[in-house]
Amino acid sequence: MEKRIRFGRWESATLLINLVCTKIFLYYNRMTVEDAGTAGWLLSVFSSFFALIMFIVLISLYKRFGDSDILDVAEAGGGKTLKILTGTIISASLFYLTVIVLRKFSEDMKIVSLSVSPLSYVMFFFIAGMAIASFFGIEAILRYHAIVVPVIVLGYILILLGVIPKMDVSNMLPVLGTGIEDIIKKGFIRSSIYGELIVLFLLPPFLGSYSKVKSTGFIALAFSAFFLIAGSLVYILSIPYPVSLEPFLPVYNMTREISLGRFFQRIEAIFVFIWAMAALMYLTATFYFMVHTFAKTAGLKHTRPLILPFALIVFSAAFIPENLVAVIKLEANTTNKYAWLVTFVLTGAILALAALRKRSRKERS
Amino acid sequence: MIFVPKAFKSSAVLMTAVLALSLSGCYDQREIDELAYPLAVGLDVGEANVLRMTLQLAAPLAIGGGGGGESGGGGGGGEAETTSVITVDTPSIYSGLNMINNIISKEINLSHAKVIIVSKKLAQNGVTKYIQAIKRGREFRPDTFFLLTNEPPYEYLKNIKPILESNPAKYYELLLGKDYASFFPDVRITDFHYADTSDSIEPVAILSGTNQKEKVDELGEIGSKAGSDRPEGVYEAGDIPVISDLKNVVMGLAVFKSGKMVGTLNGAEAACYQMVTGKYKHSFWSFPDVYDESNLVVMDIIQRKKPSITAQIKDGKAVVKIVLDLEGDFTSIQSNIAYEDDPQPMEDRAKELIAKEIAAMLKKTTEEYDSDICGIGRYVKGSFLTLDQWESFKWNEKYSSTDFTIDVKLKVRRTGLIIKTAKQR
Repeated sequence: MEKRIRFGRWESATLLINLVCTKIFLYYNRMTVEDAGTAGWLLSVFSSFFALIMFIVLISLYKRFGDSDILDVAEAGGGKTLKILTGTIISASLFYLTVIVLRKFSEDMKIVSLSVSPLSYVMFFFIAGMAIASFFGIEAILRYHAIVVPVIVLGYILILLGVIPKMDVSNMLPVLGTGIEDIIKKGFIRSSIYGELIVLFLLPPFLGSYSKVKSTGFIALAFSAFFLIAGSLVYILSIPYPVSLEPFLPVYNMTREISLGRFFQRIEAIFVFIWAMAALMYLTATFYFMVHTFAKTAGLKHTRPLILPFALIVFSAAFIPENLVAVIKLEANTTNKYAWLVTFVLTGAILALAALRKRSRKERS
Repeated sequence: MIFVPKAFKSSAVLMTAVLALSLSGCYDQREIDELAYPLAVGLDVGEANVLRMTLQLAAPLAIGGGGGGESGGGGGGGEAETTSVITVDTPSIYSGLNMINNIISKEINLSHAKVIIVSKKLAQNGVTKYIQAIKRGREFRPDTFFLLTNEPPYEYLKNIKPILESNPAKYYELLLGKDYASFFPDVRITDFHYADTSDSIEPVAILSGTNQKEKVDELGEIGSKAGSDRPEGVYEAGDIPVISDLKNVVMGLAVFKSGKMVGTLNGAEAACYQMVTGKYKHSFWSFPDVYDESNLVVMDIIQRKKPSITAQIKDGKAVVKIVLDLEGDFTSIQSNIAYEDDPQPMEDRAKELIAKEIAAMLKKTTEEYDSDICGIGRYVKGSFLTLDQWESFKWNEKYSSTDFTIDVKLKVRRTGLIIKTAKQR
């Protein structure tokens, strides 16, 4: 039934932009400084460049498969076994992302505004939101993204503009930060930031054509790169090194610094609003696509019966990390290091294999 | 078209309502009249414990004109008092809050604290550990002013009795945040923290003190001791020749190095510091007349744009050039010489004197305090490509040997309401 649902580039692009850019609100700017010091923004440029190169390769390989998603492509390339393997890896990755972000975001929320509430209580609200949105289905999720992402972007741009008086160009010095080697090596690894682009390869049946998939990908990549690079640059310009290594929520800290006269202060209220929306939509999207991928891999016709059991599993798994620092380390050492393997290498390998199989079949026939 | 059962829609709406109500009314609910708001937090060396913390609590009903009586049960405040001061000796800031919560009826909330005041004694011992605690706490605002007092904060805060404002919070904002008083810098807790953590700039604090003078006769004694022809910028907080109902004074700045206070700069030096850091706005400067030294020419000096600072490394030491671009408006020409037609001589004198003042201030920071409060290191960093190279240069050890060249550009643009000084009969 969901195969008949169609949506356009805008909805899909906003979904992907939010999936990639929510990290700006959570940790991204600090991570670039941890990796490359005052040259964090250059690292961001490099990782975006690497992601673009890899995406160009992937999307050119995808040309042959039109409106099939990556699971169908895997089936075409390696039969049921490859489809199950691919589906399992993708749904496991999305499960991991959902669990980590749910725990991290709930901890962040507890520190920023709900300090007395128990963690389970805070987490419950996100789980409830994720589950309800998933019941409504992909169309509702995407249309909601199309409406809310521009609001988030506007709020984010306001924050960036608000810190202009705090900017100091000398904060970018020394210009190469921890060195060119870090910028290139870590920049390559940090192309994992774009790992959520894997979701694009689950969207083709809903987009309907290769050209739409291609343009959606490029739109999402361009906007995400702009927001990530701008975020990192503004952060480095406004918070001097090494203090820029300290904040656990970099954008929140930047927002707290905004003070324009006696009347325009304490605008972190805007931040909490857009941050909560972005994170909830991120969680909803990863959760939905995890369930969707699992259902398709298992050959199930309906996804709704899986939503509540999966919500419970995610909820329970989110308590496994011992504390906030453990979650941050997990994020930095796993998803932000190896996500490129799943998104770019695995997808590329599947596409290459399927293309070879297709060609050999053609030759035989 | 999305197919959603009707029952599901109603339960979703119900659930949303439940979520909204429970989020705003459960664990984290706070009633505004159940909170006590300190406006100033004073830190000093303790006797019964390592830290003496003083809170100046706002009495909202008295501030709002609704009468006193609900100041939270804290010590001090009478019925008409807009604030109440409470002091505790404690191991740390947050344990002090714990102790104060045992005394007053309302929960302490620091989100409206406008100023952190440290005593000279504590500052000389080091304040970094307290600043870290303040930065970590989510209630403290990053734009809270950072002040150093010569007196213990307990006494200083007791003396604060705003007359022109009923709201003490507004009093702090207007007094410390004004852009037309250049004799003290605008220092926020976040500025102090950044500079304290950085290896290319050292922190400063606003210098404040209590004016002990009660009678006009005392001003005469000051004049006979130090002379009566001193420029207005030579004073520091507490020694200004002034008689006032308002006892607290801010003037000058406190210089820190590695988290410890190492000295002070007077008002004029504080103005020079702001010119070099680009934070100077405008203020009146008095210069001796070129043709008649017994008279003064007063100008409103404005910093036209941020200073241009370039740095090079020569023979292992930094050579720094500072170019200041200023504008001046004639405010008073006591000699009645018509400088309006030819301001050049007075421009040159002003340039020369300002450059001299700045050189003296920089000399004090290099030779006497060895503390790069102007953040010259931020420009020297540009000579290095990587952080490793910069760190191995060890700027903190090199600052004292820095060579400065100061170039002041100044043009008189306006002459006030008088365009031509008439000859006196």
